[in-house]
Formats: sequence, structure tokens, C-alpha cells
Amino acid sequence: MSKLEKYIREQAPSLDTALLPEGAEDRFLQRWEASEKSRKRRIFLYTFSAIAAVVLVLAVLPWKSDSFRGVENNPDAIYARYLAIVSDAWEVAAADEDAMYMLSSLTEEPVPLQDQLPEELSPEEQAVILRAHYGSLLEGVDKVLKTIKR
Amino acid sequence: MTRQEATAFYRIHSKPLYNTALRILKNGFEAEEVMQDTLLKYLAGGVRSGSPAQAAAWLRTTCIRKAIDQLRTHRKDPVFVEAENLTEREQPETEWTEALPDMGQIIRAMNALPQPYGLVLNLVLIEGLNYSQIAEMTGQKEVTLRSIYARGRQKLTTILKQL
Repeated sequence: MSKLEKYIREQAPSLDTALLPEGAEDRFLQRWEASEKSRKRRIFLYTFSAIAAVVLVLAVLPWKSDSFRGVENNPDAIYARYLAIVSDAWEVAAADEDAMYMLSSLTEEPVPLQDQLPEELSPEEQAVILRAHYGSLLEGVDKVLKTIKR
Repeated sequence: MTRQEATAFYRIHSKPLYNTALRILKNGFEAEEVMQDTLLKYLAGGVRSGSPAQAAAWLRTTCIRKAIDQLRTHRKDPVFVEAENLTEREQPETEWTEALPDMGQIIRAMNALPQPYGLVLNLVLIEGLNYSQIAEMTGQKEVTLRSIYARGRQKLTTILKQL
């Protein structure tokens, strides 16, 4: 590096001498306030959307697990209701080999989910999980039965 | 962040950023806009961890990047058009033997340099960036930037001797 280059590099920090145009601070603060308003509006919209989505899911869940209506938050009762519905479905599908095969694939579980849940979970927490899991399986059972009726 | 905090933040960082942008853009209006964009981008990211020095470094790099982008996208003349025609080898470095000029003369000479020489000399000598950082910011090859720098240095020496 030449003497001149070294000199320029050494003097560089002292070069920030140009003054900002008049009114620059006010212009900046105006833009900052506008961007803050926009940011707060975005946060509000995201929060509102998230809450709306949760409310929607909570509203739909009981409808989806309609098969368990009237069953209390009792894991044993939920599993019993599930087995009863599956048993009825087997009877309906008895004459249809394809439907039987599909039902078998869909509903047979070597170890019931209830037995796999950690004991630390309260009965209410277990019930929520079982309702969601078996509710989803029963939707599949319902679809299989509809193919028979056709 | 309150209005008071935003004002304090602005007063710390606005002047160095404005000067950095002004050296690259040579236009006060554009430099102010780039400086504001840089500060607003930082503030929009919420409270960041790190030291004040890290914040200043982030702001400076972002400001330079934005100023270069402004130069490349909003000006009619492409900054590096002449660089594409650079085929000659680097000039051998010549030692400055005369008395060192004052910084005012040097800045005037650098401002008189055509692009891309002025930009590259400013980024290397004043902003302290290395070739790899400049290559990443400008999309030019390091070897091209080195050639531009060498030629720019020759031109700067010539101008300074005429002052």
C-alpha cells in the first residue's frame, strides 16, 4: 500500500463532516411513526387471524367428533364408543370384501392408543387426544361405508 | 420504542450514515432517503441483541448496500459499464513522493473520478471494505474490482498532481 493510500485510510474516520439537510430529523420521525402504525396494524391483524383460526378449530372439533356426543371426558368411555361404532360398521360391510379389507386396514391397531398415552396426562387430556384420533378414524369408516351403499 | 428513543437513535447514527451514502451517491436527497431506509429497516426488526458497535456495523453495511443498489437500479448510466471493457493489466504501484495533500483536496479529486473508479476507491479506502465484500455487493468479480482500483488509483494520482 502506498503512502497516499495509507494516509487516506487513516484520515477516513474524520470525513463524516457533511451536515444533514434541514428538516431531515422531522422527515425521519414522520416516516418512523407511519411505519410504527403499519407495524402495529400488522401485529393486530396477525393476532386477530390467529385467534380467529383457533376459535374456528375449536368450533369445528366437537362437530367432527360427533360420534362421541354424550360421552364424557372419560378415555375408557370414548374407546368403548369407538369400538361399538366399528363393530356396527363391520356388520354393515360384512358382504363387501373390499370394504372389509379397508375397514380392517383402517381400524385395527395392535396396541390401542389409550395404552400408549403417558400416565402423566390427566384423563381430560387423554380424552382430547382420543377424541381427535378416533374421531378421525371414524370419519374414514364413514367414507368406507358410503362406498358400499353406492 | 418511544418517539424519544427513536429520536435518540436517529441522532446517534444519522450523520455517519448520511455521509456514507452521500459519498457513494453524491446526491443529498438520495443519501437522506437511503439513510432513513437503513434506520427504519433496523428499527422494524425490533430490539436486537448485540453491542452498539455491532449495531453501527450492521447499519453501515446495510447503508452501503442500499446506496449501491440505488446507484445500480435508479440511475440511467450503469455504474460498471466501463469495467466490462477493462482488459489491461494492473498498473504497477507508484509511490507518492510529494507532500501529502490535505483531505479536502483528496475528496475533491475522488469526486472528480468517473464511475466506477470513484465508487471502488471510496469503498476500499474510505469505507474500508475488502474486495470480496465489494464483489458481493456489486455483483462484480474480485479481479475486475482490483483492476478498477488500480486504474482508479492512477487516475487519482494524476488528478491530485494537477491540483
